[in-house]
Amino acid sequence: MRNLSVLVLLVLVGTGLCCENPSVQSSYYTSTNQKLGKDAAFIVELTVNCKNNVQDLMLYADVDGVQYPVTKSPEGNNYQVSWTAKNKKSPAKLYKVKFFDEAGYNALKKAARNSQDAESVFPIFSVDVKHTGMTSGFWISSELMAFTVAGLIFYFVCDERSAVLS
Amino acid sequence: MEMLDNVIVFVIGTVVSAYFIAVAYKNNKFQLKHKIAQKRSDGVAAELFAKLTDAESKKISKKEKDERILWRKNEIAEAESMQLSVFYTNSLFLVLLIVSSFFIFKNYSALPNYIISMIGASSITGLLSTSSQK
Repeated sequence: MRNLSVLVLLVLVGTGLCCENPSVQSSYYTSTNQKLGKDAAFIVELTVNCKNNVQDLMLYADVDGVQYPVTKSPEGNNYQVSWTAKNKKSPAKLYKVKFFDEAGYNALKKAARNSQDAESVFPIFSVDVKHTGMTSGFWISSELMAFTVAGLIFYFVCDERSAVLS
Repeated sequence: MEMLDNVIVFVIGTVVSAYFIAVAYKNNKFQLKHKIAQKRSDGVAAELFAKLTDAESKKISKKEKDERILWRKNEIAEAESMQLSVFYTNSLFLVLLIVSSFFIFKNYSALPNYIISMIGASSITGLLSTSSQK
């Protein structure tokens, strides 16, 4: 009888912590200017509402096999995850950010330990982040270009003028 | 730099630099006009003679021909010297303005940068136009 009540309690607690049918609203930012920072920065913000109204989820994000902890804001169901990656390692593409709860994260770790396929562990939801790549802008600054054009014109006029004055 | 907030500075900067640039136009034109007139002299005379028919050529005196050549030469020199002077002065002002505002005073805030660059570039353009060709 005691064992049964413990089991029921565990199931209740278990279902309470597991987010069912999460509705996710997400926004993201990726850095594109290489002049401001050599590493590409990614920030994903989420608002997660579970059908069973679970609060304070412990979430983990997985991007191309690398896991990052997700922070939760003190107010509401707002979460945020951010990471940086070397520019060469993060080309312009559509990144699939998979989100796991604690059980999923443990399963993911276990799969990695046992050299199993990480794809076999299903995330509770995923978010697509489109990174357009890092560019350093035009290779010549606009003022230098303006100066070069003006200098060329001035050289041409000087040539004309000296031909007249000679 | 907000246009309406700094309208007085813009007006003063424009008027002062316009004055220096106008001085530069005048000086450069004066230098060039004489040289252009000298260079175009033969060409203008040939052009005028080619236009005149034999009858006309016999009818008008040498003095009138010379006057016509001089008048035409003056007209051409005036136009050419003005064009070259405007082109030269504008391009010199543009180069000086770009160098001073984008390279020399690039770390200054917008207002001092504008004042120094505009007045500096236009006054140097005006100053350079006063040099005499020996």
